[in-house]
Parts: sequence; structure tokens; C-alpha cells
Amino acid sequence: MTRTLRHAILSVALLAAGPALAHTGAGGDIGGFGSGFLHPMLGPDHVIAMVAVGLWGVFLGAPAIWVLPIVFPLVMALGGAFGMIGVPLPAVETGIALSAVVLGLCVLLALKPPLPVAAVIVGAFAIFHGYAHGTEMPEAASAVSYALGFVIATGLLHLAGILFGGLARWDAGRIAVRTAGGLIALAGGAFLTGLA
Amino acid sequence: MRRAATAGLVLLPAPAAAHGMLQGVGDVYAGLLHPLVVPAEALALVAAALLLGASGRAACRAGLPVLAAGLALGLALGRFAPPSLATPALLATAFLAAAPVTAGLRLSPPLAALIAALAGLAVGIDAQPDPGTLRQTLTAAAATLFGATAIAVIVAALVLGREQSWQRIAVRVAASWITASAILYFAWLATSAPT
Repeated sequence: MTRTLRHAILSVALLAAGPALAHTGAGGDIGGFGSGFLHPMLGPDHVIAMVAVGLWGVFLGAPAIWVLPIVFPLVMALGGAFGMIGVPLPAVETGIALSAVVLGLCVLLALKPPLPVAAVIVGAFAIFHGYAHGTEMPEAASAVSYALGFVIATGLLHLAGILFGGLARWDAGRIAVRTAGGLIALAGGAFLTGLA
Repeated sequence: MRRAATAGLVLLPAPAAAHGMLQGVGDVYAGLLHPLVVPAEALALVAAALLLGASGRAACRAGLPVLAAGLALGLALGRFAPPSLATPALLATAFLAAAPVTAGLRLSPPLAALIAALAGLAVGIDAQPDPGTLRQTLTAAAATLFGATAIAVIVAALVLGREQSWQRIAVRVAASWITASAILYFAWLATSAPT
């Protein structure tokens, strides 16, 4: 790990933590928002899976392109609630890595199942992502700010996928997008097998 | 780019209390900005405005004045409400307002107006000005009333004027984010309640 990277991680850890004040769950806790916002961003397995949702939405076309990014945060919130309440869910990290593999392959192969099937696939994986966010929620963070931060970050990652997926309107762009799906599946495989 | 990232990181962990953040800016700005710097208030206001805009012009005509009236009532009577209920009330109204928009439902004007009034009431209760002279309190309360109503009017007008399909999608996506945040908040509340 380079010195610069170590400094960057240390800075993020120090700065994003924020003060633990009495207004837990209330107040303008920008620190809570920062923690929530950075949580999905700092997990590469989360990042690639979220981007894959956006990419796949582009291949599926309307209405999937906007239904999936609406379904995902809602189901993810339910997963987060399960995580906070302590509902047992086995193999969470495996589920997250598997989501990257499956969603990446869906993009690579440009699969176009019916919308309900796509929504169930995406929703099922959203449970795992939400569960991880929910269980790892810092106790000192403002609940509202943290939740809002990680929901918005997730949505922006979907948007990044949708914007990149927009390249698919051109032949070369379509190849680039499908290649990105393949790379996401490979990365997911690396997380799944413990190589990354 | 690196400077921007550093600046962003430095700015992220600002102090946690809205009143602390707004100290020294004067009563007018403290009141005006309060609904913007308290996430729960902003969520309730934006959700109510999304609902009114998505429910149509009649809902806006009925809902925006009653939202302002709810705000005024909440600001006037908020000191008598238990502080521990303020944030749950805000998130409950945010959920009530955002869930129909997420689902693509168009509520009747009276129902949309009722939810907007509840959102206004919850924001008013939560946005109590700091204790001070009567003049300071009234100034901050009036500024909050103006600021919160302005936010609601602007957001509702933007939603009402949506014509492109991407704008309709953006409204539902924003509502889904608010709905999801409210679900998470209540899960957190359920697990953190004193036993």
C-alpha cells in the first residue's frame, strides 16, 4: 500500500467519523451523512454491483431502466432493517460478491428477461447489500443522515452505470458496456473466491 | 481534483447539531436555513412537496397553504410537544408523502393536503427557535416559516411543471430515496429504543 493511499484512508477514517453528539437520530448530522455516503463508495464489491444494476437497466430498456433503481433502494432498506433488527441472514458477503458475478454476466450476455424476473433478481441481491449497510451502521451516527447518505450514494452509483450504459447506443459503445459487465463479473468472482 | 476531494473530506464532518451549526449567523438566517440543515425536516418538506406536485395543480392550491398553516401552528405550539417525538413524526410524514409518489399514485387533493399539513406541523414543531427575547424568537420563527414554505413551493412547482419522461422518473427516484431512508430510520428506532 502506498504512503499516499495510507494517508488518504487515514484521513477518511478521521474526517468521516464526526463527533458523537447527543442528538442521535436527529439534527443536522453531516458526519452521519458522510459516513453513510462513503459506506457503499468504499466497498468495491458494493460499487461494482451497483454500477452493474445501472448498466443492466440500460440493456433492459424502459421501464426497467427506472424501475430497477426505484426497486433497489426500497428492497435494500428492508435488508438494512433486517440487519439492524438482527434477522439472521447467512453468507452476506458471499451474496454481495455473487451479485456482482450475476449482474455482470447479465450485462455481458445482454440478457433481457421479463421485468418481474429482473426485478426479483436485483431485489434479492439488494437484501444482501442493505443487510451489510444496516449491520455496519455506526452507533454514533445520526440515523436519518446515515440512511440518506447511503441511499443517495447507491442511487448515484446506479446513475453512473446508467450514464456509462448510454454508450450502448453505438456499436463500439455496446462492446465497451458488455466488456464492463464481464470485468464486473470477473471482479465479483475474485471477491467470491477470496482472491480480492 | 485532489484539492476538491480534500476540501470535501474536510467539510464532511461538520458539527452535528443544527442550532450549533447556525450559531452566529443571526436570527433570520438561523430560522431560514433550519429546514435545510436538519435532514429530517428537509426530507419531510421535500416529500410533501413531491406529493403535492405529483398530485396535480388542485392539490398544490389546497396543500401549500395548509402546509404553511401547519408550519405556523407547529412553530407556535411546538414547545408543548415532547422533543423525542419530533424526528419520528418528521420521518413518518416523509414516508406517508413519499410512498405514494414512489408507487406512482396520484392522491386526491384533500388527502394530499392533509399529509402536507401534517408535514408542516412536524417541521414547525421540530424547528423551534432557540430561547431568546420575544423579538428574536418571532424573527427566527417567521424566517423558518418563510424558508420552509419557499422550499415546498419551489419543489412542488418543479414537480408540477415536469414534462419530460426523465423528470417524472427523477421525481419517483427521489421519492424512493426518501421512502427507503424512512424505512431505515424506523428500523434503527425499533432497535435503539430503550428496553
